[in-house]
Amino acid sequence: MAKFGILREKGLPSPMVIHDKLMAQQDYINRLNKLTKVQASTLGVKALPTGKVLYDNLENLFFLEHEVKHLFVNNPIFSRYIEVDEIYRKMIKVKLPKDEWWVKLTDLL
Amino acid sequence: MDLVLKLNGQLKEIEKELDNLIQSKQGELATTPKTMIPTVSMTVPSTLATSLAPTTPPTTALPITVDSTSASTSTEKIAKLVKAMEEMTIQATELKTLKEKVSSLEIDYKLEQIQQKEEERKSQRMGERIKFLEKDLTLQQPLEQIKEMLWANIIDSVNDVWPSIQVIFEQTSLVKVATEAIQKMREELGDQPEEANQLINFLNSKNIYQLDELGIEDRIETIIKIKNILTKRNFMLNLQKQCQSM
Repeated sequence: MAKFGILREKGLPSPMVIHDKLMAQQDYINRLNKLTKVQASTLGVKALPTGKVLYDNLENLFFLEHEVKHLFVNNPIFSRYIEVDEIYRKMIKVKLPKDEWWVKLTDLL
Repeated sequence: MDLVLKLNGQLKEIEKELDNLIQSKQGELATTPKTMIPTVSMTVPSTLATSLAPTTPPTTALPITVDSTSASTSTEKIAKLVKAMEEMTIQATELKTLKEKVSSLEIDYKLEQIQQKEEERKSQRMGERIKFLEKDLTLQQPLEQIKEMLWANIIDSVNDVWPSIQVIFEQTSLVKVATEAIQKMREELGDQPEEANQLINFLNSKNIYQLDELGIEDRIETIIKIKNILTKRNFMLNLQKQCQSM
């Protein structure tokens, strides 16, 4: 999620819709296509068109191209989440003593 | 243009002078007694005739009358007149030359105007070309093409990684649920874990009679119940650690 934050800063639109839900893939691609048309129209470079000026102009896109391509070193799987879920379920199963009983006990202290 | 106007002014002045001269000569002749003398043919050169055409009356043989008593003076006057006519001829020639000059200057002026317009058109075309080249120099088109290409690559990559993005978001939403549960559990437990430790130590320090007096029948069962709080606290901390690492 932190990576997504960086990508958004560089100009990649968020794939989220309201209530933090992920939008449909086709909707997101359409959104990117629209953005491409807007982003591609440019007035060009105002300074002398050196390599650096060109790179500065395209730096964010180069960054996005690289980072999106290598967004996941390993494809995420649910194994880690399963562990979390196991702990969560175990935690839920543990029953706490009733309040009255607990108050009686603590009165002993 | 100034030169043409200047020459036109000069021409008008010369024409006026010629008119004045002719009028003065005619005035002189009118005052002298009239005696018919043989007419003097005033053959004016054709160039003079044409040049004087707009301002002077047509030149024909001028009837000259001379007094018989003053024949010698008349001869002098005629000579003067002839001389004046010669001067007029010279002036007319000059006038014609000047007119020709003016017309040639006018032609030159028109040619210059045409050339100037042509130059203006040329400079306009050059300006348009410069604008086009300046636009080229901003690399607008190549930049647009590169950006389109980069975005196309990004979209391809998004398509490739989309299943993983879905997994991450699914996990994130689940982790969010777990985090909320942790928070709720923390509030529910409150100070109980600390109290549980104290209670376990307390119960372990009492013998069976003392426990009977306190109304506790089964030490082990009571401690197991108390330990549930610690177990839940431990699960909560473990869960929190796992969520943070995700």
